[in-house]
Amino acid sequence: MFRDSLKGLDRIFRTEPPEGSVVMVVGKPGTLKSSITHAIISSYLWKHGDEKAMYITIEESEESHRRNMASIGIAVPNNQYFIKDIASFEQEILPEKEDFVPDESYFRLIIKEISRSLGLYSSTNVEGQMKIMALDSLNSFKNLFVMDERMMRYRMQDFFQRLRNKKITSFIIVEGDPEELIPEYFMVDGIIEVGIERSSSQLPRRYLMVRKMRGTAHNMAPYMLEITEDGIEITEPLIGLKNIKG
Amino acid sequence: MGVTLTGIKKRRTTIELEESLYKRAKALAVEKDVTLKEIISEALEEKLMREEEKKDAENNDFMDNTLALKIIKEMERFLSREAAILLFRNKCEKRGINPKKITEHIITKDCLESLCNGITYISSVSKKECIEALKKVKERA
Repeated sequence: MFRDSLKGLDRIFRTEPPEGSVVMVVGKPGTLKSSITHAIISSYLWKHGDEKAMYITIEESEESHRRNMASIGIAVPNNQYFIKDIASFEQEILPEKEDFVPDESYFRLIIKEISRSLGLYSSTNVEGQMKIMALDSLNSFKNLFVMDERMMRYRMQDFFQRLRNKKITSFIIVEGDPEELIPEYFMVDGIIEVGIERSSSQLPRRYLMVRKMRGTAHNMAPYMLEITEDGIEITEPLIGLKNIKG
Repeated sequence: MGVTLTGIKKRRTTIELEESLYKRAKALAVEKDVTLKEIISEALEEKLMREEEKKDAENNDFMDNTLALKIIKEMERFLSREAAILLFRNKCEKRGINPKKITEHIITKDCLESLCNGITYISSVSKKECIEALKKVKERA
């Protein structure tokens, strides 16, 4: 799924991450987190015509995602790629009361609906070969509910485990500084960091590095990331990048 | 407010009870070998649960309407029952429709489309397939 997706990603991944890995894609705004995730998923789906993926969006509408993908040359097979707008769904089921806040019961309901759509409850995958899930983003998903942070982590961990059990490879997008440790880092199998390096001598350069990937042989170096006519491409190692800890 | 070893926040309060009620509660606590605090907490929990159940029943009394029930049943193909009921009730409220009184004339094509918009935000069913399914329920009614 990873090595032959983005051009040049096989320079970073020497082996393929295990099926069902929960992978966090973390970076500051504008670092192509969503686009990279879309590109990896789309590449996989084109090669596996009988499999499906679900991209869960909270910050943008489905139309906006499809427009953004098209703008950087990512084409997706529509009948295999479902983009689901959880924030809009939540709005549809919330009572119209000014002071109403969605609590843990709404969190459980939304997780239940996502799990149902992914076929996590059935003995077989009811939606038919649902292989990939992406959540964009964890930050905004958490903001949909007013509930105890520890309880939310506990329930998310349980959700991640069910994804692993069903061998659904998952991308959890997190907006933030990768250097800042968050508890969710310990709950996932892999962390892909994306960022922009700004040195005084050169124009800002985008990079991608794999900080952690369980069960996978991978390069720890940051690699340059470019948008070419053929889409997103991993080019060469970024030398002299400051403030990056492997 | 205090925090126990289990991490559950607790708040101290003072209540006045009728003498006879206090005596009955105290006697029950002794009989069951628990504290009065536990007896009162348990009773309060039960009361709150009953009230919530009553409220739920009141909110969902539109399920007596056969057409509403059939639409919910069909929606359950794409959503959990809980989500289907919430969505159906909200859509009715937003349109000023009393869900208890819906008929096939009130459930217009526009209504079905609106329900399916809500469903397809989360379910992988296509909007077309969803509308077709709900339309059939309406036609059979």
